[in-house]
Amino acid sequence: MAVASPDAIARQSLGAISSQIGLVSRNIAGAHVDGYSVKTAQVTTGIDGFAHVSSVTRATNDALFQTSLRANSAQAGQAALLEGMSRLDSLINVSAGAGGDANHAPAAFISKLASALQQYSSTPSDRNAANAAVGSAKDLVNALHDATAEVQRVRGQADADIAASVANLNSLLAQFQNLNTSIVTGTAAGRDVTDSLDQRDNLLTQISSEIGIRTLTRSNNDTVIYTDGGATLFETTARTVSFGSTSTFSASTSGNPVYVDGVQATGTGASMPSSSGKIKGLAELRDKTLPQYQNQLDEIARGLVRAFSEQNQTVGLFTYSGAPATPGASIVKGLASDIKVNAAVDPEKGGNVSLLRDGITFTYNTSGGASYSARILQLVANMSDSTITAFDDGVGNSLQQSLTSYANFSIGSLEGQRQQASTAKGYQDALLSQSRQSLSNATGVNIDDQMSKMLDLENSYQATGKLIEMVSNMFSSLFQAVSTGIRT
Amino acid sequence: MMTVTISTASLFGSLRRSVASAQSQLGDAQTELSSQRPADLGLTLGARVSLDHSLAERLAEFKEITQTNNVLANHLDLTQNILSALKDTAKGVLNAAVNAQDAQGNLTALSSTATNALQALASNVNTTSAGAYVFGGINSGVPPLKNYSATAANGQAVDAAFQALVTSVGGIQNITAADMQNFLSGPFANLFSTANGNFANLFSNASSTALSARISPTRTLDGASLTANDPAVINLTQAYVMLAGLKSTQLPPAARDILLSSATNTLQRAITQLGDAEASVGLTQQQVRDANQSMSIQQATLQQQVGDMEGIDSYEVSTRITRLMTQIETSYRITAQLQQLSLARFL
Repeated sequence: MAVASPDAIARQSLGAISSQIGLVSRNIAGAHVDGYSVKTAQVTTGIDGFAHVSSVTRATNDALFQTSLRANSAQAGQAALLEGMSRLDSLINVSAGAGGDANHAPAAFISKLASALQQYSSTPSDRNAANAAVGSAKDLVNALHDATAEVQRVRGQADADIAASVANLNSLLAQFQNLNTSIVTGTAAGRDVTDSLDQRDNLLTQISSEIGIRTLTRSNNDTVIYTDGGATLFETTARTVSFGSTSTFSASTSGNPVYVDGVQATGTGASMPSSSGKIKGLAELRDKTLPQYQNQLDEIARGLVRAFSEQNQTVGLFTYSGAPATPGASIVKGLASDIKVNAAVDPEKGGNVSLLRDGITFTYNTSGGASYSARILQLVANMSDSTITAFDDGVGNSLQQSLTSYANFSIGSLEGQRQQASTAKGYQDALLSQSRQSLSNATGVNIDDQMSKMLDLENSYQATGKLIEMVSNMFSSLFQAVSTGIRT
Repeated sequence: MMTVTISTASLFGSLRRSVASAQSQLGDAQTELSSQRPADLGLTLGARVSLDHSLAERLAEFKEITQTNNVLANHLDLTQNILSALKDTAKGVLNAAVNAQDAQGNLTALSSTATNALQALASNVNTTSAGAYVFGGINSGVPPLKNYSATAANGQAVDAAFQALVTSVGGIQNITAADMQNFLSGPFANLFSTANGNFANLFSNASSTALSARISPTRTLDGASLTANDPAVINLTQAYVMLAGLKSTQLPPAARDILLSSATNTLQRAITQLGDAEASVGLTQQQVRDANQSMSIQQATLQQQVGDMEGIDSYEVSTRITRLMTQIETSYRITAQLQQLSLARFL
C-alpha cells in the first residue's frame, strides 16, 4: 500500500466532512423556519474506496404530514364558519344581557313593543303613549332591516373571500407545477432536491388551508393532489379551480358553487363535495348557516304582519309591498327588509297615531271613545298567541308557536350553532397544534443535536488534518532519506 | 436507532403558545369580573339564550303591568273619593228634604240646596285624571254630565214636561197628588230613561262601556271603572232635578208632599246604589292589589333565574385569574431557564 493512499483518502475525507459541516449549518439556520426538515448527509464508501457524500436525505414522516394537512383543512373551515357567525353575534349583541338596553336581537325589540302596547292600553287617550308604541314598532322594523342587511353583507363578504381563496388556490397550483417539474427532473439527474421538497410540502400546507386535499407521491418524486371529495387538483399539470362571484346578496340570492377541474365541489348537487378547508367553511356559511337565520328573520316579519293584521286579512300596523292582503302561511323571502310601519299610523308620514287604538283599515272603535282599549289589548294578546300562524324553523320544519316564542327560539338557534362551532374550532385548534408539534418533533431541527454533531465533525476534521500533516511529515522524512542516500 | 426526538422549534413554540392562550383567557376573565357578566354570553349559554330571553321578557312584562296597575289603582282611589263625596251631599239633601216635609219655610232652602247639589254632582262626576274623564267610560274625552240649567236642553225638556202637566190641569194650583204621582212616574221619569236614550241625549255624554284593563299577564278586567250612566248617578240627578226644577214652592200641599216623598225615596235608593258602587270599586281595587302581589313574588323568582343564567361567580373568576397568572409566570420562568440550556454555552 503506497503512502499516497492515506493522503488521497484524507483529502477526499476533508471534502466529505466539509459537506457535512455545511449541512449542519443549513440545519441550524433552518431550526426556526416553518416546514424545514432536518437534512442528513448519506456518507458512503465508493468503489474507489473513498468516503464521500452520496446524497442528502431529509427527515420525513408521511403519516404525520397527512394528519397535519387534514387538521389544517378542518381548522381553516371551522374558523371561517365561526368568524362569520361571530360577526352576526356582535351586531345582535346578546352579551349586553337579555333585558339589556343595547341588546339588538329582534326578540328584545318585540318585548319592548309589548311593553309599549301594555302602557298604551292603560291610557288609550294619551297621545304620548300612542307615539311611544308606534316608535317602538319602528325600532323593531329597523332592527329587522339592520339584521337582514348584516346577514347579506356577511354573505357577500364570504362570497368575496371564496373568490380570493380560489384565486390563491390557482396561483399556488401554478407555483406547485413549476416546483414539481423541477423536482422530478432534479431527482432524475441526481441533484439535491431536499430544499425543493420542503418548499413543495409548504405549498401543500398552504393549499390544504383553502381546500381539503389528499396527496400521492410516485416513485419519481412526482406528486398528485386530489381534493378530499375526489376531484383532481394537480396531476402533472395544475387543474383550474373556477368560481363566479356575486356582487350583492339579498334574501333570495344564492351564490355560485366552486368548480374543481370542472366538477362541482360545493353546495347541494355537488358531485364531489369538499368536506373541509376554508372554501368549504365559507360556502357553508353563505349557503346554509346565514340563509337559515335570514329565513327566521323573514318568518318573524311575517308573524308580525299577521299578528297585527285587521279584519278580512288586511294589513294593520305592519305593512309590506304585498299589502293590503296579509302574507300567507309560508316564508316570504326578503320580508324582513320589506316590512314597514303603516304610514297611516306614522306621524312622521302624516299618519294618525290614534288609529293604532281605533283600527287602521277596519274601525274597531265604533263608538269613537278616547279610552277604548279592547283593540290594543287584542294586539298584545296576539303577540303571545300560538294559533296566529305556524313558523318555519329556517330549514323546513314547522313550529306552532307564538310570535314572541319564535323570536326567542331564533336567537337561541343562532347562538346554539355558534356555541357548537366554537367548541368544534377549539377542538380543531388543539388537534392542529398537536399534529404540527408532532410533525415538528419528528422532522424538525434540534439545535443541541446539530451542535454535538458539529463537535464530532470538528474532531474528525482535526484528525484528518493531523493525518495529512503526518503524511506530509512522512514524505518529508522520505525525501530527506532519499536525498541523503543519493549524496552518499 | 429510533429515539423520541424533540425539535427546538416545538420546544420553544409550545411555551409561546401556552403563554398566548393564558393571556387571552386572562383578558376574558378580567372583562367578566368588571362587567359581572360572562364575556361572551352567547357562547356561554348557547341555545339556552332563548330561555334567557323568554325569562327577561316575562320580567319586563311584569314590570310594565305593575306600573299600569298603579295608574289604575290611583284612578280607582279617585273614584272612591268621589263616590264618598256624592254620598255625603246626597245625605245632606235627604235631611233637608225630610225636614221640609214638616215645615214650610225650609222649602226655598231645599230648592237652592238641591240646585247646589246638582252643580256639585256635575263637577264631581266630571273630574279628570291625566286628561281623561274618570266617569266617562271609554268616551273619556268629553265631560260625562251636561250642566243643568233652564236654558240648556235638559232644563228646557223638564220645563216643557212640567208645563204640559200644568196646562193639562189648568193651573199649578190644580195639581192633585195623583196628578203629581202620575207625572213623576210617567213623563218625568221618561226624561231619565236609558232605554229610549233620553238620559244620554239630555244629561250624559258618557259611554256605558267601562274601561278594560289588563291587570296581569293572564287577566283582563272589563268594567274596571264606573260610568256616569250608573243607576246611582241617574237617580241622584233625577232626585236633584225633582227638587230644584219643579217649582216645589208653588205646588199645592198634597202634590208637594208627593214630590217630597218621591224625592226622598229616590235619594235613599241612590244612596244604597252608591254603597253598591263603592263595594264594586273596592272589589276591583282588591283584584288589582292581589295581581300586583302575585306578580311581585314571581318577579323575584324570575330575577333570580335570569341572574343565575347571566351572572358570574366572582369568586370563581378571581380564582381563575390567579391560576392563569401563576401559569403565565411559570411559563415565563421556564422559557428563561430553557434559554440558558444551550450546548453553545458549554463549549
